[in-house]
Amino acid sequence: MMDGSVVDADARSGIGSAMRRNKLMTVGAAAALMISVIGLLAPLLAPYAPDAALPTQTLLPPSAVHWFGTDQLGRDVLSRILYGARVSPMIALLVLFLACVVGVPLGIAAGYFRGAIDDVIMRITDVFLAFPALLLALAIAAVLPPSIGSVTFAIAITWWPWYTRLIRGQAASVSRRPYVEGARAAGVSHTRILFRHVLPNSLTPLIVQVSLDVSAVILTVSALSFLGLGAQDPTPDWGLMVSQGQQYFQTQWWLVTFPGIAILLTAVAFNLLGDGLRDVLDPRRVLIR
Amino acid sequence: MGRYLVRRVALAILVVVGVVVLTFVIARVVPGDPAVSWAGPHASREQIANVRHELGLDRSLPVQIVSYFGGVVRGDWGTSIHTHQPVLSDIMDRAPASIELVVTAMVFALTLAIPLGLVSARWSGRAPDGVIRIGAVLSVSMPAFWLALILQLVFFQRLHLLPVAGQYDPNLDYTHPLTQYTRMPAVDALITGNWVVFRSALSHLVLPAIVIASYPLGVVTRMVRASELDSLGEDHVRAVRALGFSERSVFARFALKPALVPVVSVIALVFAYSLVNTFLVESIFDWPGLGSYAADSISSLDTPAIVGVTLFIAIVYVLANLVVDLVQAWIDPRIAIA
Amino acid sequence: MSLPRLEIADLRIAFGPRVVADIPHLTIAAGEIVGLAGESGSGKSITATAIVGLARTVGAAVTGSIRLDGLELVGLPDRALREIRGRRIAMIFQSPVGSFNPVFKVGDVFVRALRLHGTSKDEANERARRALEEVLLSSHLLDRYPHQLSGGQAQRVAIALALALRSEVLLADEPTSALDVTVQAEILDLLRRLRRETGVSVLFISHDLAVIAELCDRIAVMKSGHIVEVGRARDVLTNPRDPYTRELVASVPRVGAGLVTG
Repeated sequence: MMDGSVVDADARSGIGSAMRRNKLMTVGAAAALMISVIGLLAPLLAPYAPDAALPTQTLLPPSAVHWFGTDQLGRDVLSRILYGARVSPMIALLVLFLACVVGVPLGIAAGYFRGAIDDVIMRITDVFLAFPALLLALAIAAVLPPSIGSVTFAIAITWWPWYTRLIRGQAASVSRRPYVEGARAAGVSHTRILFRHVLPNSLTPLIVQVSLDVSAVILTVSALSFLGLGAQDPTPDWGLMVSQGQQYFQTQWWLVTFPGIAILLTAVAFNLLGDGLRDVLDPRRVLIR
Repeated sequence: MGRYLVRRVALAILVVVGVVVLTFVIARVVPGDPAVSWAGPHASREQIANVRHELGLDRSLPVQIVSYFGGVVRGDWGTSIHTHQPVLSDIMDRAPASIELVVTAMVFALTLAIPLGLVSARWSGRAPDGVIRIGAVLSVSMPAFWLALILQLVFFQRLHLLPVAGQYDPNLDYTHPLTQYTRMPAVDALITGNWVVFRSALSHLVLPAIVIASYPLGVVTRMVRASELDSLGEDHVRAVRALGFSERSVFARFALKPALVPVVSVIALVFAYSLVNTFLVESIFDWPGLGSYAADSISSLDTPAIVGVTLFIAIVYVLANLVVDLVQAWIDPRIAIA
Repeated sequence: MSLPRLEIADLRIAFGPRVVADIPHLTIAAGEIVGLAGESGSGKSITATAIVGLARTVGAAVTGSIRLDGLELVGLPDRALREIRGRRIAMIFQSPVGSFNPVFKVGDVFVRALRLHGTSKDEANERARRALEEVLLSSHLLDRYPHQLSGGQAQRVAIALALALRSEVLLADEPTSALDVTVQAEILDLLRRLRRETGVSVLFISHDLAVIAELCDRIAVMKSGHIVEVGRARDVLTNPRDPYTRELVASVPRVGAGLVTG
């Protein structure tokens, strides 16, 4: 069965798998878009207010009135999940934005100017990267008062070194290209070179990496919320909802099941989107963090 | 190889020093005033001042760093607030249970991921590949804490198939007492031939190990697939094909061995991530390891314990990376030269 | 005239609808060195790949006839082809170091290949050692990894492997293009000597007409998948009939000069 004939499948798969990949990417993009729309339109979509507690209707199983049931305070689980699309995905985007704001300039500085600046910056990133991301974020969040702000700060602090390292490599290779060296020799200012050449050339790998990271950050946010370090009670955060549902879930399974599925689907959507973008924009990039 | 080893070890030491400094920053600088959290919410101003003096927080920062560093090196990692024990001895007590769990999960993940990744690469673009790739995306996207709860619900609550709490059935202590050597019940039961406890320990391991295995399984499967496909496109693969080697041999020997080099490098990473995932999973399964210790420390605002566990795992991670570098240099002799 | 060792007839190689090589007839006699010249992308390499029955691995379809001592190779089951590949038809490549697996010792692949084609372990080791000495290399090189060899050494090892396997046909795909001029000359010498001593037939593929002129008995010139001219080396070089060949010959200073004076 392992004869030569199986191999020609590889050749055909060139086109086949590209199509399949793009199909998966389309699914991911559609799902990510849907999650964003749900977040934006939550007030219109949700049948109830996310924090409307009905003390007479606690822990109701899923029904026509409450599709996903109600929680221990009588709040509608479906409505809370829909509003939840505003919480962890938003935190994730904010984290990635902050991480880029810190990480990209440092990476450019290290890669473009080299020398001592480069050494100092890169040794610092080495230290941050010596921690698994979730661990460092967790330790920082744990010593801060629990809140969305703490979680955002803790994860952003953990995440910037990845971008510094990525951008440094790009900046270093761009700044060695002949036309950039030529521009420098001709007396073009650093700022101009950075904005005209270095930054645009670093953008594609950055976009790919950020899109690949969205789901990792969402999972991290959810994990911190689950441990009680992030969003606090009335906030309809998915990780927090799983955590709160934990003590009832032996009998009231819906409290844990639905918010968890929301986290899983969101992570899958952004993973597919990121994988697809990588294949299309930056096919030589392989490694997953 | 010798020089490569020395350079790697030196770099690892440098990173560990940085790691210690960073944990100091987390413990003493980030929280604002650690004395307040130490003394508790109802402490008087005088009590806080006492605590501050006891902790040496009234000294200058450089002095504090030096004394913190000295403590870490001497094995004085502070005292846990919730167990009242030295943090390092708590960690040493708890680590074996976590290692038992994580190693089981890693073995499980790798024995599944490598064949799956190869199948996926072999039939790339066809049905098995599609199924495996979707499975891999699901398993890296899985929130571990949620998977743990769902598996409990299904296999314990509904199906009554598998136990969900602890490392083995404690009732067996009366009928089949277990002699402890390693503090890992499955291992102890195995080496003492205590099969009743061994079977119980294994059945207790299944669910938490599956949960911990989910992330490594997905990451390694994807990595094996990508790396093998890369390798198949190389000149040396064409050359062995032209020598008449069978496609099986080309695939499983000549393409696979170089493809494993990048795969090895993610193993340290997923091992460390799995250790951290125990924070989310162990309490759910009443597993008496580092993870449940960390989770307890977090809920009781036990900064010394949190920082201690963080430092411990970071050091384990640095060491794991060192081992990976050496294994890679052993597989691929070009690395030691670069 | 006896049966040619390798005979190609009506060979068509295509990627889907695109035909990349179309060769009505080409033969290589025993002990003959035939040069296949042409610019990159003219279909030379894929022709060699098709001869060893590996065109499918790159997704190309092959029709027509390729006969080795009268044995039809096109359409032969893979199992039978594998016994011919390496054993009777060997191949060497442009990137000598890259053609050896970086994580295996050179000798490891060498001995495995010999054993694959039915040599006992002891004999394989012995033959490997002798073959290396035959190409003027120390047999200690067998214990090295490919990155520890120079390009010339690696190419000699590859040729030694063909020698040890006692191949009847050697397909050499740009074997000297990545090497320095002096090393290149040594490899050409080696091929000449090998042909003399073992009677191996060589299909020497190169974009470099000067190298082909130096080595080959006959020359086939290929352009966009077609053979535009075949003939004895001297004839093709001194009296090219096809305009493309003329262009090619003129672009090589030494050979071109010969054309003017000769």
